Amino acid sequence: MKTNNLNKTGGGKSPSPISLKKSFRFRLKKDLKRNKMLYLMILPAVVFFFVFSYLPMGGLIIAFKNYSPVHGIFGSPWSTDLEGNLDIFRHFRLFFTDPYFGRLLKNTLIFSILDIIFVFPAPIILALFMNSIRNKPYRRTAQTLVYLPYFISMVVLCGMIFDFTSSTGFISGIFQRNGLIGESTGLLGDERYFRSIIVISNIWTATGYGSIIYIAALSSIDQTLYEAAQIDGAGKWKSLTKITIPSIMPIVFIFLLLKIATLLNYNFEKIHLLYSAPTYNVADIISTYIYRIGIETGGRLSYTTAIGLFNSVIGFVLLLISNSLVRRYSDSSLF
Amino acid sequence: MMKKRGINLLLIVVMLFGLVVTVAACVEPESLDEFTVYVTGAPQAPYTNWDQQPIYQKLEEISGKKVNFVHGTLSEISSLWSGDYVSYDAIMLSETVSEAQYPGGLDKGVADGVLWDLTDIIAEKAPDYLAALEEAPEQISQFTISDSGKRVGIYNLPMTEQGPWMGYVFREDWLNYYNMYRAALMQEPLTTLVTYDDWEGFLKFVKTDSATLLGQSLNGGKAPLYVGSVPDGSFTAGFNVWHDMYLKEGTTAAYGPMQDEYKEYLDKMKSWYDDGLIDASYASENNDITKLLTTAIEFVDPTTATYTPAQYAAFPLPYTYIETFVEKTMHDSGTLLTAMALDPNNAAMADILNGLASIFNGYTLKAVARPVKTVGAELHLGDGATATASVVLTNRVKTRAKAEMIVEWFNYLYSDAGRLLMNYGIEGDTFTYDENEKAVFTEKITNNPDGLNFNEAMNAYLGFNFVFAYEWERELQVVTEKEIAAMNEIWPNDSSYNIPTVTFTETEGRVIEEVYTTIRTYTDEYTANYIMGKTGTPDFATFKDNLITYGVNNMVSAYSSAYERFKTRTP
Repeated sequence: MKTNNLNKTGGGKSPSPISLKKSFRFRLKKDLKRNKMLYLMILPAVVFFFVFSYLPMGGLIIAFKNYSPVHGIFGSPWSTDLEGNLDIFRHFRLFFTDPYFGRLLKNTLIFSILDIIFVFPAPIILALFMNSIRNKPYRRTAQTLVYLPYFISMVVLCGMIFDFTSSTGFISGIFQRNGLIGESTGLLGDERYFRSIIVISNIWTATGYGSIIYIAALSSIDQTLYEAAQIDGAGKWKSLTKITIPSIMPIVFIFLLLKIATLLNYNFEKIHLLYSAPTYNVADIISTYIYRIGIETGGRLSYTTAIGLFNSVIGFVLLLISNSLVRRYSDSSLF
Repeated sequence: MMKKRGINLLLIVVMLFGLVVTVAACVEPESLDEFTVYVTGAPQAPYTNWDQQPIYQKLEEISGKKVNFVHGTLSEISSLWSGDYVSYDAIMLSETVSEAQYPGGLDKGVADGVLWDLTDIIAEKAPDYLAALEEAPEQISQFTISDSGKRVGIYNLPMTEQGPWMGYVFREDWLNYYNMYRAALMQEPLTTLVTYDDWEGFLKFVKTDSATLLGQSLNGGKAPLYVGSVPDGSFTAGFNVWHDMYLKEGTTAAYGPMQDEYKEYLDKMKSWYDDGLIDASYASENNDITKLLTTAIEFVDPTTATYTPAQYAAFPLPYTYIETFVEKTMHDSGTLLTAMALDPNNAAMADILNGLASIFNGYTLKAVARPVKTVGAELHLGDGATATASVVLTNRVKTRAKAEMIVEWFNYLYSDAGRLLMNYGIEGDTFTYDENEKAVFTEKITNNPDGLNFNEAMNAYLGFNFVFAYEWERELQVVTEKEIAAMNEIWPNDSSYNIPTVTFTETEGRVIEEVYTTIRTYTDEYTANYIMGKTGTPDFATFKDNLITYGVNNMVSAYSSAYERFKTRTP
């Protein structure tokens, strides 16, 4: 396409590299001049992301080093084994051979997939319900009420979950009376229920706030489409499946892609605040393990950086795969 | 043209001036009138920095030196070594908190050129510090030198041995009922709980057997023993084993959970768990000891909405709470009612308060030592001696003259006058002398008019969380005889099998780093699952085999080497 355009501007002659360069420089200059205010406006964001997102990526190098705070990121020696032989992938190897590697990966993926299955669709369904409510004051009140849980601090929220699901909590009490758990035991310490507690609480907190974007997308659908469908005899169900849902699918796909990209970075705070030794088997995830190694007991920064890098690479690969799948089967994709 | 030249000249002059100023700033001699120290203690509001507090202002007046305190946290110290340490002439470390140490130990800090070796300077300029070291308990002095015999830090020195500030207490009033029960069975009365069997009998009585004597269970049939979510050594010590690294038979470094004695502990806890003496959800819920202070006494049973007596017959407490616990609980309940905007004059509320009063009628607590297997058996594991906080000098200090000035400033804190100032504050303001010429706090500390509690008042007006000749006995002025006895007589025991705070070489540190989290995770998980009888928990032999696979032997060797070096420390 570019060659054709250049051929057109060049009067049919094939352009020399110098003219290409000139042409690019010329266009850039022209564009900068024409849109200087726009470039100026985007500059802080570019600087922000460069300084806080791209520049720190240089620090990832410590995943291949024996990082020592005294020697700094670049002064620390490259990773070696305990005998002192160079082994720059040692931290990765240690993670892959860690006795808990399989369990951590499995638990992280299970939590993320459960979230995609149960938590991700909840805001979409809620938005569809909200969109169908015609009584405005009622809708506004309902919306405000469902947004509220999102604004509860994570620590307070986990405190509430703890109180409801501990051995004296009222939800545990219901289970105790029905013989589903032992007397004086709580749901929270029972590994059979731990994942359900996390997923249900995620639905409770995230659904309302998450629905905002879908409600906005729904409100931007052209109303004449519904009128035309009505004239053609489409009922509510047909309108929903043929107009409403297809109209918000691009945004659904974008959010799904972003969710997939963070598959291995599951919600650390909630798990950390609620898990305990009896539930490690189903609750310990990569990020909680990183916390225990990196901060609580170890201070192994190179090792935890290696795990973080592994997470990011997997997330990036998953994003590329899912993006190409989405692009193949629909018009919307991230890039 | 002339104008352009003029501007050029002006720019050159400005640049040269800047250069001269920069060079002058660089070659300026170090100030011997002030220094900056990173401390981990926080100032007490309304003060925002120690330099605003009266005793530090007094120190400035006495020494003529200005100290710039920078308040940080222990966990931030590890990040200072990447370069920020050069902002501080001195940094306060803690050898018991891994993030608050120099990576690789103090000897390495000196070898890296980051820390000062103060051996000669302390010998010459800190006679009061050295005298205080002589006076302090012997085991403290070994922590104040590095593995190679250097003096790198100036240490906080507790001047007398302090007992454990926390330990188990039990319901003495319920023991009286238990003795009535024992009398009926023709058994000797107990004055306290000594063996595991004593504990077990008492706990079973509170939970179930009391119903045969009194018509109803003393604690409503709930679990009467509060244990933490992970072992803290309270119930392992009697089996001569520790929940982490310790000295087997007082000589060899060993990992406690690898020992057969640990299985004895596990079996005992499992039998207590099976008998319902420990909370069924203890491992997931009993994780915050401080929470116990407010929730141990259940005012309202949420399942039956009735008032129940306190659940626990035995639980850990700080020594200062033994006699004030009931008072505090009553106070908290009153505060709760106020916070709930409930009228205490209302008849229903009066019922609640009367109910509480009847619950606490006769409620008394008694401190109790760790249980042993048989009467007369000795304990060797307890609250072992640990290193304390220290201040080290960084290479920001360029000259020996400045290092000497800082050491001299600290030395004053160990002199008689400095000791009095740091421990008791300013005469007439925070302390006076009693008839025995002993310093006693004024009400500014013991009953602060601004509403500060005792700890807060000490933080505001006295030396607190810093390095000086620390006379911890100053606290005893607000503690009852019974509470002092708990700390000094009941809770302490020989702790010669506890491994002291040792320093690892870089390689040893790496070995431990690589295996410790996995070993700790596996041990905690196995301990909880074994006690709770979770299906699929492997047997103890498999547990030990797995620990070996995870590298426990490497960790033990690293500790052994570090301990051997520690034993040979000489100044």
